[in-house]
Order: sequence, then C-alpha cells, then structure tokens
Amino acid sequence: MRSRFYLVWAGVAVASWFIPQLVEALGGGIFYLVFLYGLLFWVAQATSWNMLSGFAGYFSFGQGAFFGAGVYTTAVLSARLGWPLLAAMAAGAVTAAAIAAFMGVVVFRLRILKGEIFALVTLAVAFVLASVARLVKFIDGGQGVSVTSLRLPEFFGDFSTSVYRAGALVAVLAVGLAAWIQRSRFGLGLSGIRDDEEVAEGLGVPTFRYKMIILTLSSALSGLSGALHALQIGYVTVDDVFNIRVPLFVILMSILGGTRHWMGPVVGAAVIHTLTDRLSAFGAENMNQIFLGLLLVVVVAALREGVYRRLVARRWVVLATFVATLALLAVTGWGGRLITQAGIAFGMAILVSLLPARLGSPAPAPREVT
Amino acid sequence: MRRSATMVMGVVLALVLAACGGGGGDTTTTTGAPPATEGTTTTTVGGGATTTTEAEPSGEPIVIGSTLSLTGVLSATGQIHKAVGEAFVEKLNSEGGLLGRPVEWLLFDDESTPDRAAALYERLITEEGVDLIIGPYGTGNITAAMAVAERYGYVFPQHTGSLTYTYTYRCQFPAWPTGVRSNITNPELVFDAIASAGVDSGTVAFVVNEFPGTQFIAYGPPDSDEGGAVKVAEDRGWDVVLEVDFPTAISDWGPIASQVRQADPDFVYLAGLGVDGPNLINAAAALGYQIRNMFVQWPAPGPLVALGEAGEGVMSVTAWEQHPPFTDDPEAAAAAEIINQALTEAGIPYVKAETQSVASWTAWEFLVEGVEGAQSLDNSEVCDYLVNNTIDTTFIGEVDFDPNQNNYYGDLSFVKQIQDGDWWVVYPPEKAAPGRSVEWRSS
Amino acid sequence: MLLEVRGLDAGYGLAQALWDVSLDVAPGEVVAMVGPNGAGKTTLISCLAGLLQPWSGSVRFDGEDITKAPAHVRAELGIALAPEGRRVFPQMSVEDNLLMGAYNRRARRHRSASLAEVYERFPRLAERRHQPAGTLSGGEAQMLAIGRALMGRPKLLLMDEPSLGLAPVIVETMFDIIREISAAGVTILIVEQNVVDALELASRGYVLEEGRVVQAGPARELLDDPHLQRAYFGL
Ligand SMILES: Nc1ncnc2c1ncn2[C@@H]1O[C@H](COP(=O)(O)OP(=O)(O)O)[C@@H](O)[C@H]1O
Ligand SMILES: [Mg+2]
Repeated sequence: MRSRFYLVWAGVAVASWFIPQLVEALGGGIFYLVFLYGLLFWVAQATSWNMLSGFAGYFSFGQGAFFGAGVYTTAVLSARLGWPLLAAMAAGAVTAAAIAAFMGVVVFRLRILKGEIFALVTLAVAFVLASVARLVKFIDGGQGVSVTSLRLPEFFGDFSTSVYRAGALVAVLAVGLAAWIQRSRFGLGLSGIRDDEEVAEGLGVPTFRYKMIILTLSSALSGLSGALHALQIGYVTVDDVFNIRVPLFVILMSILGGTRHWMGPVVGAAVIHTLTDRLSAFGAENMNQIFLGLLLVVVVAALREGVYRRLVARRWVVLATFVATLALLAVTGWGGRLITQAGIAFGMAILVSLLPARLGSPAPAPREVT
Repeated sequence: MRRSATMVMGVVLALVLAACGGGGGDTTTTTGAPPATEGTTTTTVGGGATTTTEAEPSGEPIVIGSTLSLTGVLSATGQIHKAVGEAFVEKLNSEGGLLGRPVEWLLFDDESTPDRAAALYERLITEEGVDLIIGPYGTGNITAAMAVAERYGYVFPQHTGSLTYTYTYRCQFPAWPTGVRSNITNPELVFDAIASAGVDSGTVAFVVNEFPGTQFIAYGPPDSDEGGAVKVAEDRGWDVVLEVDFPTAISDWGPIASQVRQADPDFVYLAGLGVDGPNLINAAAALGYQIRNMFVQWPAPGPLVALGEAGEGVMSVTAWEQHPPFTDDPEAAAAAEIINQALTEAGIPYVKAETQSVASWTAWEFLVEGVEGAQSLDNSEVCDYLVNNTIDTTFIGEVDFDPNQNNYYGDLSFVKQIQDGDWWVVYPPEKAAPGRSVEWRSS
Repeated sequence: MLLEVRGLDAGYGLAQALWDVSLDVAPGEVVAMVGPNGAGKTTLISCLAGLLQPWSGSVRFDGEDITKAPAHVRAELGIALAPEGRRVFPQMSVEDNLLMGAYNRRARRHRSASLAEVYERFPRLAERRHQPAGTLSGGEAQMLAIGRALMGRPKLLLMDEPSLGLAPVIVETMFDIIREISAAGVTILIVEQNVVDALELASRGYVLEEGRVVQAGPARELLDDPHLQRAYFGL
C-alpha cells in the first residue's frame, strides 16, 4: 500500500517534468507553461492553506504572511546578497516556517486563541510582516526588489520551462504530502482537532505538537512556493506580495473545492485559476470578483462539502459534459483558442456537477479517511 | 475514494492535454484582418486611414502589445498615455505604417498594479504572440513589466520608469530624460531654481509618497548611502523641519496637512504624484493653512492648474512644455498639436503637451526608429540598433543611449511653475518661457 | 487503588470550583459521584482526564503520579473519557469517531478487534458506520461516545452524565449498557445528577455539593441516607 502510494506520486512528479516536451510536441506555445505554472502555484498555496485550515480546522487569513516571507527572503538573499538561488529558496521556506513556528508557540499555548481570534492573529502577523518589509530599507524600503537576473539550474530548461518544472515539483510535494497526511494517523488526529480539539486531546491526540507540525509544514510549503514565485514576479513589491489576493484566493479555492479532502483545493485552484485566467485573456478582469463571489455563494449555500465530492459522485456525467462541450466548441470553432474552449468545457462540467441532486446522480454520504 | 481522486485528476489532466493540443493553430490570422485576439480592449487603429500622402501600409499587421493603468490609482495619467499612443499609431499608419505594414496596438488594463502588469505582459508575449511591446505607465508597473521583457528578450521602450538605478536590462530604453541619478540631479535642479530667485536656504518639509519612484527620489537607492532630495537639501544648508511618508492609496490627508501646518516650512517638497498635490493643498486649506512654496515631483498637470488661485506658484519638473522656446521647433509644435487634439477627444481636462504625453510619444518613436533602423522585427536586432545608434526624436532631440548609465543619457529636466493659471518653464533661463522666472513667496 | 485523588483544588481563572476533593477507585469497581448541576462534577472529570490543570492536590493512577501529565499521556496510560454532552466528532463518520477512540498507541494495536467488539455491543453503530456522527440521535450519539471510549481499551472509564438529555426509556438502556461494560471488567467512575440510577449501579458513592465532597460511602447506604433523600428525592 505505502510503496504504491510513493510510486504513484513519484510517477506524477516525473510525468509533470516532461509536460513541456509534450506541449512542444503538440505545437503548443510557452503560454501553456505559463498557464500551468500559475495553476500549480495556486494548487500549492491552496493545499498549504488547507492542511492547516481544512484538515486541522484552524482558519487562517495569514497565508500572505508565509507566502510573503518566502518571496522576500528569497528576493533579498539572492538579489541583494548574492546567495545561490536554491539556497535562497530553501531559506525562504525556512523563514516562513520559523515565523509560523514562533507564532504557533505563542498562539497555541493560549487556548483562547481559537476560531475567529486565531484568524485575526494570522491576519495581524501578515500586517506586521508587510510593515516590516516596507520600513526596513534593507528588505524593501518602499522601492521593491528586482529579481530579474536569477535562474534555476540549467537542466530545468529555459526560464518558463524551469519555473514551470520547479512549480510542478513544489505542487506535487504539497499535494502528495496532503494526500499522505489525510491517510495517516496524523491526519486522523488533525480531523479530531478540527471537530473537537478538547475531546481529541482526551483521546490521546497530542494536539499542541500536531498543531505545531501542521502549521510549520503548511507555512514551509507556502514559503517554498513563494520563494519560487519571487522568480516569476521578477519585481517584488510590498503592496502586491502582501495583498489580500493570496489569502483570499486560497480560501476561495479550498472552500470551493472542499476542505476535507486533499483533492478539494486542487480542484478549487483549477476552477478558479482557469476562470480568472480566461477572463483576464478576454480583458474582463473586472468580472473576476463577480464570478468568484457568485461561485462562492452557490457553493456555500448549496454544497457545503465542496465541488470535489460532487465531481466524484457524478464523474461520468461530468466527464461526458466536458468531452461533449469541448467537441462541440472544437467543431464549431466557438470560443476562439483551444485553451479557452477547454476552459469553457471545464466550466460546463463544474456547472453540471453543481446542479441540484434530482437532476444528477445523488451525492454520496461524505466519508473520511479510508 | 482513491480511485475517485485519481479519476478527477484524470479530468484535470485531460483538460491540460486538450488545451495544449490545439496550441499551434489558433494564433493564425488571415492577411489584412485583425488577428484573432481575444482581448476586448484591443485598440485597432490600422489599415483604414483615408487621407494619406504615403503608401497605404499593407500585409499582416504588426502587433504591439502593452498594458496601461486604465483603472486604479494611476488611471488619470494612464488615460493620457492611451490617448497619445492611439494618436501616434494612427499617425504612423497614415504615414505608411511600420516596415510598410499596418500597426495594431493590443492594450490591456493592468489596474495600476505591478503584478497584473507583469502577468499581462507575459500573456501578451506568450499567448498573444505580439511582435513588439512598449512599456506601461507607473514606475512599479514598468519595473515589473521590464522583468518580463528581459525574460523573453523583448525591446522595452518605456515612458516614465523612475527606479533608474535598477534598470540594468540592456534593451530597456527610457523616454523620460531624467538621467540615471535623478535622485540627485532632479533635486539639485530644483534647489538651483529656487536659488535663482535669490533664496539659498530656509526651512523645508519633505512629504513623501510610499510609491517606489518617489521613495527613490527622496531617499536614494536602498542599498547605498547616496541619498536623495532630503540629503541634497541638507547638504545645501536647508533646514529639514519635517520628513513624513504617506501610503500611495492614502484617503485622509488631514493628519499630513496638520503636520505641515505645524512645521510651517518655507518650502514643501512633495515627493508625490498624480493628485497628491491638490489633495495636500486642499487638506491644508481645510485647516486654514496656505503652503507658501511647494514643489510636486510628478503631478498630473491638470488638477493643479484647475485649483486656480490655490495652485499658483506650485513647481514641478518637466521635459517639455508647449510654449516657446520648445515650440520653436516646427516638428515638435506640430506633434504637440496632434497630442492636443488626441487629449481633447479623449475628454482629458489638461490637453497641452508636457512631460507625460511627450514621454509617451518619445517611447513610441524609439520603437519605430529601432524597427525601421534595423529593418527587422527581431527584438535583438532592434535592441542592437537602438543601443548602437543615435536616435532622433521629435521632442527631446538626439538621444544616445549609454549602456554604462542603464541607457540613460543625462538629466534633461527643467523646472516649471504655475503662473497666471498655467504651467511655464521658469528654470534654467535659456529654457524659460519668455519673460518668466521663478516666483517665490517669502514668509 | 487504581485511582487516588487527594486534596484537589481547581477552578477557572480566579473562580474556584473544587475544594479539597479526595476520592478512590479500586480496580473493577463502579464508583458514582453524584451532585446537582454546577456542583463541580465536570470540573473534577476534566482534572482527571487532564483537560484542566488542578491548582493543588494530586492524582495518582495505577501507582503513578499523573497530576501534571497532559491528556494524551493519560489516554496512553488507560484513562478514557465519555464526555458530558456526548461531544462526538460531528463531521467525521461514525467509524472514524470510533477509530479516534483507539488513537493512543496501546489501543491502536487492537483496533480491529475493538471495533468488532463495539459493533457487536452497539449494532446501531454498525448500521450507521459511514454516516457523519453529527446526524445521529441523542441515544445513538451517547452510544458512540461510550463506544469511542471503549475503543481505547481503558483501565478506567470516566463517564460524565451519560443520561443527560436522554428520554427515560433510553436512560434505562444506557444504564443497562454501563452495567454490562462493568461486568466485562472495566473500572468505571461515573458522575451524575441522576442520583438514583447512578447509585443503584455503583458499589460506592460520593456526594459533591458546591465543589466539596460532603458525603461518601457504599452506594446502598447513600441511597437510604435521610439527608440525601430529603435533598434529592424530596422525601
Ligand atoms: N469553563 C468554565 N469557566 C468558568 N467557570 C466554569 C467553567 N466551567 C464550569 N464553571 C463553573 O464551575 C462550577 C462547576 O461547574 P461544573 O464542573 O460544570 O459543574 P457540574 O458538571 O457539576 O454541573 C460552576 O459554578 C460553573 O459555573
Ligand atoms: Mg457537568
């Protein structure tokens, strides 16, 4: 069982490494790698958030803090101090984890800091980090940090390919870890913490240790993904990095996909990234918020458990819708580029999965760890 | 459960593969028709000009991509760049296009945020496959977009980037002639101008926007002790009585204005942009305080003039103003009139040509000169041509990009001041409008 | 003694809730601690389970001083809790709830066997094993809470008001079940407001009032005690 699990994830990692070759062979442009990198970035971030907030139930608004710590540590160490990129990236992950661990020691010792209070504390940490970055000249000092000359090792390929590949490795690491946690005894303990921490503690779950581990792990992943993202951004500014966008999006993605399964954030990230990317390609950036808002209302109101479970329950209908829509668009040529057509088909498939129960096959009772 | 998870991953993978499958075919365009771009903000200004003296451009359009701050905090100035760019492209097409082909400008809105700008430039280059790009507006956006341009080796003419010391990319070409050490040369010029009115020292307040470019002007680069305007003032014997930063998206100016009133300086050096100037003046007026002398780094020109009496005496820097001696050059005067018309049609309140519109125009000229000079759309050839040749421009004369100075070519700024309800260059004397000089209110 | 509590003071913030509480539980016994609402029963149970740190006094379990041990360590040592108000994990399935009961390392080894035993004892839970626990009825949830505690293969089972909020018929069943569990050899400390049922079940009893143990003795004697009869049965 275990060895098969590792094999599957190693396989996914290797396969994702060769996607650029596949894209090229099929005649697709660099854009597909850029798109995929964006998708995988959000997969990693949302998965990281979900480990802490979905699995352990500690709702965080502070994703931006850990992401930002990764971005700025890498940017400053590599661009200002000339560290080798990989070392700077590792330092980014470690810094994010260290900040989280420090926060955890303080916050988790005080039992009152739960629920909304915890969420506010994480938000406050993000604000503090943003202010520090803004004020300390050595970090940012209000002029941003240019990270333009840095490159990943040669064998990762040209810039876009290398960033995609590194992004894929980070995402596979994050999702694989989440999948592993969900199956593990550790994951069961986290579920207990989420549902009733005191009872879980009484049943033998070392809650403090578990919370520290998951918080540190989650922020290290977020920091690592942020470290890589510094490269992709090229020019790092406080306003953009500590923007509400990252914390908001990871929450939306996870809730949309479902917070109780490791696939939830993956599906949520795929849906939202595809949607926002295509809207942006249409120059309809401003519509994003409206769409996201509507989507979230539907999901929160109609299916608490998230899109992923619906997709599973109606997998054949969903797949059929996707294929049929794509075929229709491909034949008629509606929608323009194929990536847009695929996006539309994907959207249709999601819509079908959201239809009220009577129209589709019934949703199964939610199940936890098998 | 595991099988289901794999299943859904399969769907996602299917999406990806399907998406990649058709990548090659969908950017093909038929000759003459606009390319099948998806951007709804496409600004097609091509092909159909009716009154031309030169040959009609023909063939597949050359697509030039960019973003501008059409919405968000920088949109007031972003709109100027849009109007000027459209006018330039229209003129270009009516005069035979580029390499004999029509030019099409594909424009996205970056909402005044650097990360949007960077993402959109990456989209323009990789998804839309534009032939050339031109910079966005606003230092943050320009700096972010430049990183993308460098990544893909695109020539990057840019209007008004102000983090001069970071622009090490060989193919970035600044149209704003501030020089690479504008943090020193600009303030020196300002205090020289004041000295020309017989004032060598006094008290000065620095009010600094947290915007990257104004931070740089005020304090210099972060990793050196070179300093900026504040240090220049101190070195010249001015007494710095206030130094305060404010966020770019500031909404309440009351506290800043009251600090200025408290300090009551002879001179306020507002390292701000856009409508920071009118905001500070109005907030001070609400406290019953009138600032005696003020300099604003990069204001939107219109709103300060629109203040009427309250705006009188405000100073700034400029590269070009639409009055003699600048308009003595007939070509520049004619181009300025095109700008006037474009800005009028776009409904922009202040329609005279000045720094922003001139920088915009000049950046487009760099691109055209580079392509025509290299006789190629190959970005590296265009880049080489621009680096190795003297480029003739309408407004700022001959430009020799100096790779040792991040392609800057000296500080060609002048000091302007609002007098009798309009901007006039007042310093240095050889560039001043006839009969104009710096006016100073003493306490 | 399996459990020896001596001179326990405890409370919340500045408000003291327990004064000098002492009690003993011998292996195999069922001991009942009865008292009215607000007497401090849950506070005592929390101190024993390790969820609340007492201000002073000591708790010894199986000869070991566990006064300072955190809850998860006590679970490892063999103390299991069926908390007041059931407190099942509402979003987790019935089966995962039970597996959570076998969370500690010692019990984990036997979890398949324990699961089979619990399902045998509570067939209703077996029927609903994949259902989220939050959808169970009050009686079922109480069974789940007890089943979950049993999954831990406890040496000492702490039960906080198992009859609270249940219909009278179900209360009967519940006490029958507890009797069976005891008969199977599990030592039980039960705290209850339901004085009669609890004392009829127990061999020995304590009476807790306003945070103090006011009476102690064999359960039969307490049931016949005139003071208790006046106070609790209005006789
Ligand atoms: N979490 C708490 N915070 C503050 N006081 C509490 C808390 N829990 C219980 N108390 C107080 O402690 C006393 C004993 O409560 P408790 O142990 O719950 O009694 P019982 O379980 O016998 O009904 C009561 O006065 C109650 O108000
Ligand atoms: Mg109680």
